[in-house]
Amino acid sequence: MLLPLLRRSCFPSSTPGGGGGGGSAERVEGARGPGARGRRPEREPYACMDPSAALHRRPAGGSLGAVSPALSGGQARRRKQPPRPADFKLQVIIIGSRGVGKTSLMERFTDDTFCEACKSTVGVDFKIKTVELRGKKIRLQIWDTAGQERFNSITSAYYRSAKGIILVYDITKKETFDDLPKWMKMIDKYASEDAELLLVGNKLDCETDREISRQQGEKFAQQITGMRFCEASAKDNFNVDEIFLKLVDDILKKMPLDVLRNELSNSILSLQPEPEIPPELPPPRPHVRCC
Amino acid sequence: MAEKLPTEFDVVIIGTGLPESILAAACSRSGQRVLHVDSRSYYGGNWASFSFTGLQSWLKDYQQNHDSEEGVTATWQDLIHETEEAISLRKKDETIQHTEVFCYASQDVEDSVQDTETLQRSSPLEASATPADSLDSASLPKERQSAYSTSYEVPSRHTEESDRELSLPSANVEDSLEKEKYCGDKTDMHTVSGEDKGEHKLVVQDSIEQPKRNRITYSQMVKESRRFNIDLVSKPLYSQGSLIDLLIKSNVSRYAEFKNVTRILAFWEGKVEQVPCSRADVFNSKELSMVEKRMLMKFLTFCLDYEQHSDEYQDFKQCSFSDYLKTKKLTPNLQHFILHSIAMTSESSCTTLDGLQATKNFLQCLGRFGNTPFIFPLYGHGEIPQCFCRMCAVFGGVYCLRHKVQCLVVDKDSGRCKGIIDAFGQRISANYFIVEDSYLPKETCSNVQYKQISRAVLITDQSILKTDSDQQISILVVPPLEPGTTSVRVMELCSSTMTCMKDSYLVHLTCSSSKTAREDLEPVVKQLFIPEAEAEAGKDELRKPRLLWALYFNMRDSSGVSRSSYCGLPSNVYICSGPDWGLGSEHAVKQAETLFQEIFPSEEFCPPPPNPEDIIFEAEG
Repeated sequence: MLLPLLRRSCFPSSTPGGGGGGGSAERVEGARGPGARGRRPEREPYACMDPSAALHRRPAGGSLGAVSPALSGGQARRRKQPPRPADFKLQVIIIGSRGVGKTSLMERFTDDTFCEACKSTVGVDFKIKTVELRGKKIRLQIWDTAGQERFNSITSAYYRSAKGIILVYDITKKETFDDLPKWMKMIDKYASEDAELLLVGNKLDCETDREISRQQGEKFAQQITGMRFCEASAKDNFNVDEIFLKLVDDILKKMPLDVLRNELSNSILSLQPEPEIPPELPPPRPHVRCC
Repeated sequence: MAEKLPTEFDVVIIGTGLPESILAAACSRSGQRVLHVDSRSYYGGNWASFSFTGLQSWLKDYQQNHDSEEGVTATWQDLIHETEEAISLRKKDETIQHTEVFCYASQDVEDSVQDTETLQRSSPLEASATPADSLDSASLPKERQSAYSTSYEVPSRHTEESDRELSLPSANVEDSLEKEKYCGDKTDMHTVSGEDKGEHKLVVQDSIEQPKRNRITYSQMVKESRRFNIDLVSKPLYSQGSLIDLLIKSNVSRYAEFKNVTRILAFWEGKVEQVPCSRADVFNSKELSMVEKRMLMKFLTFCLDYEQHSDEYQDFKQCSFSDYLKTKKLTPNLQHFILHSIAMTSESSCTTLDGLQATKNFLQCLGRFGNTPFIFPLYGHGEIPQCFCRMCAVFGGVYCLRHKVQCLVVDKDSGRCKGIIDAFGQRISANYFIVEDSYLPKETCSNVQYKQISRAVLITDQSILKTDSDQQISILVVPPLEPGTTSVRVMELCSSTMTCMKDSYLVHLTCSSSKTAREDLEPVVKQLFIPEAEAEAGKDELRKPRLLWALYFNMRDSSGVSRSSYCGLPSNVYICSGPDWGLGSEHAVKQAETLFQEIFPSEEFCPPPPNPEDIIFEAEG
């Protein structure tokens, strides 16, 4: 039995179906089973929520630029005047052993929510958040494991197009740290060599139960070329935005612009092209906030 | 990892091939609690794809014939009640036969000079590359580092054109490392091939005479192993086919990316030629005369709505399509193009109506995504079952690879299957069971007549038809070379499909078997390619791509088996077949949909899921 959480409870008024506009996004209405129940009842009130959610957010690290309010593709589609399309689309995946807080980190970042009672991940595919960094608008797609890590059965396809990989362990559970080599093996096998790696020791709020010292985490990350390390708490919202923004920043730094541009035009077909992304990139915006 | 599986599900699915995976997604999507297991360590069963070294360990598994009963399995007899009986599942997969490997690429004598120094370093790498589970963390960073150095090497190779640079004396510490690591496999191959004598000498000569041609060595292929994604069955997708429709409808397409198949080729009078298929292609074709262009266009236009012109083919309904084409004022090469490359049918068996329908289907698929009727998934077709598995997992399906199921537990009275017992002696109950054919025990399949597919996988250094672009994805149907044999389908993939390393091509050959895979396919391979070791500076050899590595195997084709030919199946056990030899995956999609509707007649098959951002569920504790 599955219970819908969070957003549904925020907006109990249920007018299934939502607004106008044609296209594939609307076919959702035909959804049955648990999916149908999971549909967000109204997009507009949620869209209004976002700016305030962003206000509560901790400011991002100084050199990283401001975070724009989350704008999902769905909202953008519904607006009369669509916002400036994202310059890039980046895929980031989160991996790590069961129960280390992968989904919590993701939801803290994308929705600024934390769910104490969350058991294990069901029904979370990926989340989208648009961030602005280095004067670029980046549509960040954050993929969750869909629970396939539970019995060590993540598909190789999951790793394929990730530009960034967040590897998470729980500082209060040694076995999740001991599993890291196993995860590195999967990364080596399936992920792109250019993918940025970030090691995160989560659950910093449980300092008293700590089993893995900061130094141990640091040491592990140092052994791996280009791997960054930090500790965070999804519960206390400590270092969460920084994790994602730092990762995106690293990806952008490493990846020359034309690579990203090529990726949009190198004849790879995505059967459902994202409507927001224009075939060619608009010129970079003149005003750059920082960096 | 010591965690135990839950013991109650609605649907248990055994095998992660394409039809099982589609069914898993469909069941999970409609709210069923799904357990999806596979005894193998990888997704896809016979639909899987492998890296270069991964494929070799797969081969090894099949070459070791002995039924190794490793990992003492818990006894299940005690877990069966008196009113129950067990159908024990097959322990060893027997769907792959006649595997033969030939390595023609140079095996790098010069590299071994440096071996002494590098030997010590190889040990940690070796440890991390073996499937042994315990990994010391110290070895891993190195692997990552080496992966990085590989990626830096690629661009440099590209800029420095000369082949000299490629076989750099410094090429390279890792080369020899890898060589050490995989020498086991190599000996294996030597014994099979027996064709590599004198090869090194020849290769050395070659590289002096033809510095233009890239030399890919065996150790480079091993080093770049993960660049290869070699499908056991490689199928393109019809751009108007049922698999694409399902991918789009169910939103599973968001997990995969594709490329257009760029060319349809024909093998005509001993040469490979490009077949013009779109209107623009026909008019731009340099091979066809003006008259031929008109003839072809006229015929293709007719085929698009041939049903409206029944007078044109009425009298030929009983004839074969090839005889019909002879009456249509088409030159022999046009007849050949239409028969083999557009309708893609075999000479003898295809009727006029089937041929017209196939031609129409081909034409209708044109232009949806590109210039040919096909697209191909990046990283290979083996990604597709995984994509459906992810959809299943997103909706709560539980996934467990490397999980053996010992038996199905059947209630004697009702004749229905109640549960399974896994290798840990755990009993898991469910209402419906979906089992892939290869798991069924011999007794159940005793009346079944299986067909076979002959497959070859080749790694080559050039395209079978060179053009300005070296990034072509091509499909070629080679008509029967001798009467009584079948036509052979060839799919050539370039490196941008992410299925092979830079400057190489991955070529898949497929036909329905009449003999062993090598006997069926080697004649075609010889027509199209020349083994690296035999290539000399002659003219003809310059044109033919060189064969660096080849694998032949036969795969069991269970697609035509009807349910009634299995003995003693409980009514709630449903069987999925392995891959068929057909071009697309329509059979697997159809099978999955049919079975789903049999099991859940009132449920919609793979409806589109809600927006991913909107689904947040909590599993009950």
